[in-house]
Amino acid sequence: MLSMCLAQGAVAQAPGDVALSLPYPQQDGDRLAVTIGVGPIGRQQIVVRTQAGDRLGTISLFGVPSGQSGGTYVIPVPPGAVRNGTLALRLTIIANGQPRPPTADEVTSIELLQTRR
Amino acid sequence: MRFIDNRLGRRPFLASAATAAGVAALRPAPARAAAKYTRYNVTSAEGQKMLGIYRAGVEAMLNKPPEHPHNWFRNAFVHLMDCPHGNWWFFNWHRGYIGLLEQTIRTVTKEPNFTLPFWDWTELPRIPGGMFDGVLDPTNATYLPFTKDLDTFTRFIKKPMNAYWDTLTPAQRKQQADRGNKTFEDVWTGMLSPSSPGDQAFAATDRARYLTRQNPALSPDVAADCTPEVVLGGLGATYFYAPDSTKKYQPVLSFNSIRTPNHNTAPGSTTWFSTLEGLPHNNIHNFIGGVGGPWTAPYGNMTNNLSPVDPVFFLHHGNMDRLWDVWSRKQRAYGMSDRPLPADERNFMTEAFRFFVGPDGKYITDAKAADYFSTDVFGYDYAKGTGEELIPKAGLLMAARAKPTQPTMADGVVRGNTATVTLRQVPAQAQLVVSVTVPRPAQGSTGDGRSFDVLLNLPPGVERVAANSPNYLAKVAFFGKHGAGHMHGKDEATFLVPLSRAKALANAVGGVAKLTISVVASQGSGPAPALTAVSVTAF
Repeated sequence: MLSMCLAQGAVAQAPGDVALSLPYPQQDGDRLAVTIGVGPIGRQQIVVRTQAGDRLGTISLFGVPSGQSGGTYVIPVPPGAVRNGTLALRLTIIANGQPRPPTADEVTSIELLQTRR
Repeated sequence: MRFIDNRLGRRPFLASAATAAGVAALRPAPARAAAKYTRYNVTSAEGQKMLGIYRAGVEAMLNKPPEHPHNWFRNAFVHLMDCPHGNWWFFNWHRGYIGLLEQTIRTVTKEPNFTLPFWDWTELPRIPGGMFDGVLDPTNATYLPFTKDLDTFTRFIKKPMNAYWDTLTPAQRKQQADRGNKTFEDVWTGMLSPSSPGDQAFAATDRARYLTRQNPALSPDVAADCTPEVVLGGLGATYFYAPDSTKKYQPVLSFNSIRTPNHNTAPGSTTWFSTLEGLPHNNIHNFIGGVGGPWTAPYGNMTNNLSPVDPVFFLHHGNMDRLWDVWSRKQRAYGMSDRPLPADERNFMTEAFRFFVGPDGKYITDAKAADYFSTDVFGYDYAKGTGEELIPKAGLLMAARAKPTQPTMADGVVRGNTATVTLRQVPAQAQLVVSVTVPRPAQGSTGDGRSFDVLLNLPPGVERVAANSPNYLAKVAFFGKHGAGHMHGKDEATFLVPLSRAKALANAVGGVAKLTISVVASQGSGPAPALTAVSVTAF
C-alpha cells in the first residue's frame, strides 16, 4: 500500500521555537519528517532540535552557489520526539560560532509530514 | 570468500524482513549475479589492506604530470566542472565517478583486485585513522609542490587545464554553459570565488583539511546526522522519485533529490534535498573542511567542488553509494521498484555525462546516466554496513504494493470557503488525499489566526466541529515570512490532508460520492478563507 500522507503546518511561538501538531493520532509504523526551507544562509548552519534538547538535524549548504537560497531539507523525526500529539522544535542558526534564533528570511518554511502505509 | 560474504550479507536481511512482516507478501529479492569485487568497510582487515593500495594509488596520481587526465588534481577538476548536487542525478553521477576512480587505481597500482573502501560514518563518526597517513591527508607536505598557495597551484595546473578546455566538444561546452562557464576563465574564477571567501574551492595545503589526527571527530551536531535514525529515515523512501501528484510529500517519499532539467542545474530556492544528501552528505563534507566548527573562512577542500582533492572524499562517497545499494535491494526485496517511474525513466537515463575519465586515461565524452545506474557495470557489491540490518524494521512501515496505480485527481468546485468534489470509481486499494489551497492570512496574524480546520460534509446549519468529530479532517497552518508562499511562491499555500475511504465513500451512491469540503479558522479565531482550489487525489 502506498503511503498515506498526513499534513500539518506549523505555528510559531517564541523566536526559533515552533510547535507542530499531528492531525491524526500517531500509530506504530508512522514515518515522521519535517521539511525546512532555508534562505540564502551561506556558510551559516541551521540546527534543529526538539525543545527537550534532542538533536534532529543540521542544515549545512553544499554545492549551493553563493547568495542563492539553500532549498528545502527533509529531516527525519523519531516517533518519541512527539509528545501528546505535538512536536515542539527549537531552531537555531549558528553564525560565526554564535547561536541565535533564525529570521523569517533564513527559515522560510517548516512543515511536519506524517506518512503511513 | 567473497561469495560467502555476500550470502552472509543478504540472508539475515531477507530472513528478518520475512519474520517481521509475518506475511507471504514479501517476494524474494531477484537473484543478483555474483559480484566480482566486494567493497569493504575501511575499519575491517580487508578494508585496511585496500586502504594501503589506495594510498599508493593516490601517490601515483599525484605524481602524474598535470597534462595527464589521471593526475590527482585533474581528476578533482572533473568533479568541479560536472558534479550534480541537489538534484536526482546526485547518486547516479557519483557512482560513475568513484567507480572509474576505483578502476584507475587498479591501473596505476597494477593491483587488479583493488576495491574502494567505504567509511561507515554511522559506526565511526570520526575520520578513519589511516586517512592521516602520508598522501591520504591533503595537509601532508607531499602536497606543497602543488597547493602550497594559490600562485603555486596556478603555475602547476592552470595552463594544462586551459589546454584541456580548448579540446572540449560543442556538446561539452553546452553543458559548461549550463553551469555558467562560457570560458575557461569562468571556471577558474568560479573556483576562486573572489566575492565570497567561504565558497572558495581551492584550498592551500595548510588548511586543506580542518580535522586532524589529534582531533578527528565529527561534531556532535554532525554525528547526529549520521545516526541510524537519520539513515533509516533516508532509506525509508519508497520511490526512486515519487510522482508529482504527491506534491509536498515528494521529498519524503523520494530517495533522490529534486528532478531538474539537467544534472548541471545548481541548487536554489526551489531545490529540495533528499535526507541522505541534505544531512549526512552535506554536513560531513562541510565539517571536515571547517564549516560548522570553531574556524573561519577560507575553508578546506571538502567544503566545495574541488573536494576530491581530499582523499577522504572517495571513502565518504563510497558510503553514500553503499546506502543507495542498500536502498535498491530493500526496494526489490519488498517487490517495489528501485527505478524511476516509467514516465520519468527516459528523461533520467538519457542524461549525458561528458567529463569522466576512464581507466585507460581517455576521456569518456558520451556516457549516459543509464551506464552507471547499476553496480553491475563495475561488478561490485558491499560488505555489510549500517542501514542494512535496520531495513526489515523499516520495511514493515512501508511495504508497498508492487505496482503503484496511476494517481487520479478530481477537482472541486469552489465557492468561498467550501468546495464540492465528485469522486467516481475510486480504486479498491487507493489512498485518498485532499489538496486544499488557502490564501495566506493578512500580515500580522499570529497564533491560531494563521491556522485553519478542514472539515468534511458538515450537516446543514453546522459551521465548525471538534477534532474528534467524524466531520473533522485536519488542522493546517502557515509559518514563515509573509509573501513567500511555500508551495507556489505566491501568497497562498497548498496543504495535503488524508481522507479515509470510509469517510469519503460513506454517502456514495452507485460508487459515486459527492463531498463537501469546508475550511474555517481554527477555534473561531478569524474569518473563513476564500479557497483558491480544492481537489482529491486517489493513489
